[in-house]
Amino acid sequence: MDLVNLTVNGQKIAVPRGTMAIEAVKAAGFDVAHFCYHPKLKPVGMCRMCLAEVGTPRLGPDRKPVLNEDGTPQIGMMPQPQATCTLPVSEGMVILTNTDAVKKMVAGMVEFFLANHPLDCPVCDKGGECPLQDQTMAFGPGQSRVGEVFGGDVRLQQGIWEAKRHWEKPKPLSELIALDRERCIQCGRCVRFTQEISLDNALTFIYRGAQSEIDTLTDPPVDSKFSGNTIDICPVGALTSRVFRFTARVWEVKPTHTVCTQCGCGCNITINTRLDKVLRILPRDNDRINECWICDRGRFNSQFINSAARLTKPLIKRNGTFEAVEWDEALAFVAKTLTQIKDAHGGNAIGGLASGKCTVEDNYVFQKLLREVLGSDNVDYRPHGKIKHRLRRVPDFYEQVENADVILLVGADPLEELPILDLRIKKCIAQRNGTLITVNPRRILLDQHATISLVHQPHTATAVITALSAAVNGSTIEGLGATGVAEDLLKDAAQRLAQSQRLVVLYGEESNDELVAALHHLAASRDRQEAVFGLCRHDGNALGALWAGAMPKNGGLDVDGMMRAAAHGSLKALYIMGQNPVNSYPDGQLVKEALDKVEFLVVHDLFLTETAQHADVVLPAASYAEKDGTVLNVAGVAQRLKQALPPVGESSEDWKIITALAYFMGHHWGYKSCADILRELERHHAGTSARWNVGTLERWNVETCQPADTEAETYPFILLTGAQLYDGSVSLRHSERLSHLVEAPFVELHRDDAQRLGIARGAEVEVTSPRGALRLRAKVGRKVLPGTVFVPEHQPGAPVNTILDPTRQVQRVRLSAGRGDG
Amino acid sequence: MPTYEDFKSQRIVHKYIDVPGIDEIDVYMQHEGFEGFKKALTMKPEDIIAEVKASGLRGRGGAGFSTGMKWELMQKNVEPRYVVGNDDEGEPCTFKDRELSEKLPHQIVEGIMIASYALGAHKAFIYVRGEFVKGYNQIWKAIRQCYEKGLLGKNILGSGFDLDVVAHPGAGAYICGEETALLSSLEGGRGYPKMRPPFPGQVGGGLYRQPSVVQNVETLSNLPAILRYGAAWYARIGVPPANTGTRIYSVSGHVQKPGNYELPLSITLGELIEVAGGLRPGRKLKAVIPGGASMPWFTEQHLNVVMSFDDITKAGSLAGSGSVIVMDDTTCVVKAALRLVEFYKHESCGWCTPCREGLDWLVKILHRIEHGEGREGDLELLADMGDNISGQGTLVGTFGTHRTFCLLGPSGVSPMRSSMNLFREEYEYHIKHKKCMVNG
Repeated sequence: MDLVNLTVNGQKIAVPRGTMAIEAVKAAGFDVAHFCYHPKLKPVGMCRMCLAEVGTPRLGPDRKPVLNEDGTPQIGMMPQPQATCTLPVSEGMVILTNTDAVKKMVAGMVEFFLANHPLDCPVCDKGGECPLQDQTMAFGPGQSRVGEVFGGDVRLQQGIWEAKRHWEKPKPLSELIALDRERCIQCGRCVRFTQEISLDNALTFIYRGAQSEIDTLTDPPVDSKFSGNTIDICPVGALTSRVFRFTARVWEVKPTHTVCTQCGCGCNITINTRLDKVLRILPRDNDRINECWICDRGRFNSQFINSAARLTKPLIKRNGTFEAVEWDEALAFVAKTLTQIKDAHGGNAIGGLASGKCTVEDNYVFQKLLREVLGSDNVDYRPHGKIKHRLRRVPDFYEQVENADVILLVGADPLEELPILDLRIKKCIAQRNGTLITVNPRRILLDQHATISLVHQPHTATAVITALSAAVNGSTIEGLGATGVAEDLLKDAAQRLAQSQRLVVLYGEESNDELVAALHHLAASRDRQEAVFGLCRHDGNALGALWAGAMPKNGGLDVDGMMRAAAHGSLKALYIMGQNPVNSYPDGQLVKEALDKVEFLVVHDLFLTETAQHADVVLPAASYAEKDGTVLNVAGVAQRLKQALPPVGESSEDWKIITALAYFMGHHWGYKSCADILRELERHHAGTSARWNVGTLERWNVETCQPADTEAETYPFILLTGAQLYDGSVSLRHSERLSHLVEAPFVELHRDDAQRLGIARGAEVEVTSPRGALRLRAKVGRKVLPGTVFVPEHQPGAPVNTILDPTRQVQRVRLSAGRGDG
Repeated sequence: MPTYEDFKSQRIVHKYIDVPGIDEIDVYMQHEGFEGFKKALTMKPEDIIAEVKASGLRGRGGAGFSTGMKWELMQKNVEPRYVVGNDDEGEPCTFKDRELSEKLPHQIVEGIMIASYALGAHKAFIYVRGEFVKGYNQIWKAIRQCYEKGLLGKNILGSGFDLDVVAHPGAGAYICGEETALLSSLEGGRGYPKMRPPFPGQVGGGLYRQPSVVQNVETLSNLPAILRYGAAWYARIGVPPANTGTRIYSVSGHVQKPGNYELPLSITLGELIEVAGGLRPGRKLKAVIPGGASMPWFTEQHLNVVMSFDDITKAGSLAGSGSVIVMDDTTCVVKAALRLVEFYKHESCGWCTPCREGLDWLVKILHRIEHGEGREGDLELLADMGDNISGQGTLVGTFGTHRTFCLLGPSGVSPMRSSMNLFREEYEYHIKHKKCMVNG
């Protein structure tokens, strides 16, 4: 490495070339005062706290250093004090941060900050973890010479020449964030975060000079999925969380270092609890995964954990209503009924849905229950059978994304599916000059930052990728007409792909085999180093569930098979752990039939979900904050969950419930902790080449026939579905603050179609398929192509799966204007 | 007693300002219009740069940096490059660019054409102060007329040189006259100054991160004549070799005929006041601010100072934008300082702390002194807070060792510091007697 030698306060140190002086001073072991500087943001030199006296060796006419008599180089001190955050180091540089002159400058700067600061630390959420407090103590003068004197001369307080700036406080910036303008020191960290990291410009400065304020110009206010990070990086109490505000002093909370499981990113978090209540969730630094950021869902979706609606006792349905019972009774009842069904119809009459939301240990004991105790191979963790996961460990997945020169994103929307991956892609684009090429049937927000967006007709992704391969190879491009992609755009993309040295390909988890094969072919045809492949959109521990063996191995039924068998009547009992198929299974009709038909239904969940309401027995489970365990993120990296608070009421961890149930059925496994289970699982893997052989999965039975023309006339629109970060999931419904941000159910259509059909923005629209109809609010724009509409999955109160027909590859609907809302 | 009539024949930029209809292209072309540009087209770009450097022309916006040197230093191996005319004249009591924009817009456009040709720019901008509605319209009129005559656009006059010029109005911020803030504003962002290095002439520092040269419009207006008559002619005017040519002095305050006067750089302060009609009868000179409101003050004893860049610096102030504010003995210096510091406080962009917070408090303290609420210790407090914005070093001219991001903050300290150094007894009188020493 190219090192530069310099002296900091007399201490010699060598740092890599290009390092900013502030980092060199820190590396030499000295404290530097600073507010605006943040290692993840570009240096700006705004706060002027990190000033130092700096000198460089004097150069003679021969460009060589001039030496003193004793042989040391003569140092020419720069006439101005230098902001070390914006000053790159150079050879022989001398930095002084502890001279009287520097101390006076810094103390003077602290005085300026406090001149208008309200000093309301006793009621400020930041108190105790506030850089302004800390640096005032370390570097500031003991007293202020300006500003109001509290409790002093009334005339002084009234004199307007004495007044601090006063603002109404706090001002709610958004549903999630409150702004206290009096406390703001205008370091711009929050604004720069939205400009440099989240690239959504959700915050900005308004007005000028001493009247400057932070504000948002977006609609809805602070339109960002990452806004909570601005609270963390705010060096004063100006930005505060409306979830955490006034709930505790920060030194009273208990921090627990754990992992977020709300999506597959695997963000490292710290859960702050007090008196066994979750107060707030903070990101924990891990540069290999989430750096120092998390998304707003991960941060603010915490209120559900202590929601009053949580199940706290086992429930048994008697005469159509649920009765709360003791654990012994519930487990004995489940054990007895399952044994009866097993004895009468054989183990294969029982099916089990495990979950990618539960830990590896939960899933392992779950499949063990099915296989060893109930004698059934019908087990699946996936919400539906189109999903195909591959176990692969890529520890530097995020670094590879960041350092890619070209990212090809196919059939996925990371902002809604894996938000932290979205941030890394943006980092690659904004800070590493990476190129993003997207291939999607509709526009996504990330397309703003894409170099090329290939928006194609629905269900033609494979054709687009095949055409890309042909263009990369220089052979004739075929079959592009049906995709609606312009040839020059495609050729441009192909050229960039052909030249890429570090290609990363990311695709959605519902990509079919043909598309994945086409992508591999495309990557291989570049004649370069192997590209990295990643799947977007995982449940928090989908790969862990796969690793734990929660998949059929020896001809058992997968989730689709179980639903069909249950609806058919051949599957008598269904055991569901941590899933809500009534909401999430694509064929809403089939799942209802299945759950109604099945003789015995057991559900583990936190809440009485739509699925749980169909159950015969509901067992109260623990959330991710209330348990230990292991999870695998989207890159196959295993991380530990740590219990932040005991499970609420009588609820319990899933593995404990299942272990107890097995005991009631005569199997004494004797697990005392997650570690016991993991040890057994690893022993298991040791014998089978370290991985479950999941074998070939039953293929999704797709009718490949094209819809008849008459149907295209009756249902002229192609329906696309996709994920939404703030969806109608049960946990969000119970996180009061965040729930305000869940959008009312909508359908997105192209403005030309809207105009033709006379559908106004915001009007109510009926979306009708052969299966059913939904009433939704119209979003009109140009994100979808004409002739297609987009409806997110899991919208609250408008489950799109009720109108889907998964036996068809292409979903068709018609639109009719409903009642206008005005 | 010199009068302006004695100097009128030496005018360069204002040579034809009195010609009726000079703001129309036909009249302008009858008066040597675009001859400098046509001459330039016959020369090699590097020869033009050498010529401008030899003329000794220095920037008329404030810093007085050598124009030829700036052009030489611009990185020229990168496309595209830009030339930006700075017509965001905001310094209090400076009004020379406004008159040039309104009366001689073609001369500005011709200047920017010459600069663009010399620097290989094919797109140039003129950033006009938002309040200059007439000047903005006049510059656009001149640009349109140049397109009609084939002086702008593709293949100008068959030379193969292409150039487009765009005028852009500012939105009312003083800081946008600072060249990097001007570039931020022109790019569509908030008018915040940018970090240097990289300098505007380097990759990453200029407009849209491309190498750019930002030039005051008076500087640009000098270029046609330099090209027409040659560097040697220009370099003989003023105080050669380093302070050549004329400059437009905006004289305001307590003189009988305030206005813009174009005079050679060899004029003295005393002569300049006389040219501007002298003081009102019976009044005595109290203070003069040379070079714009932010410069250290002069008094009677400086009347013999030559108003060139280097002589003013030697005498302890800066030539700045060429405005001269004259104050006679009826002036309350506390009130004058308060008004000036208030201006800088109002125009502080808020980017850095000492300027944003410090000037705010300087104003509050000055305000209470002026309004009879001053306290013991306020003068020491003012001086110390001033030092915390901009220390009293001597190494970098009169601005001292500033702690701010750009020079706006130190500019705001200067009137307070300078007036307090010269007239401390007036401040003390204000505090002690709760009233003004001059006006009661």
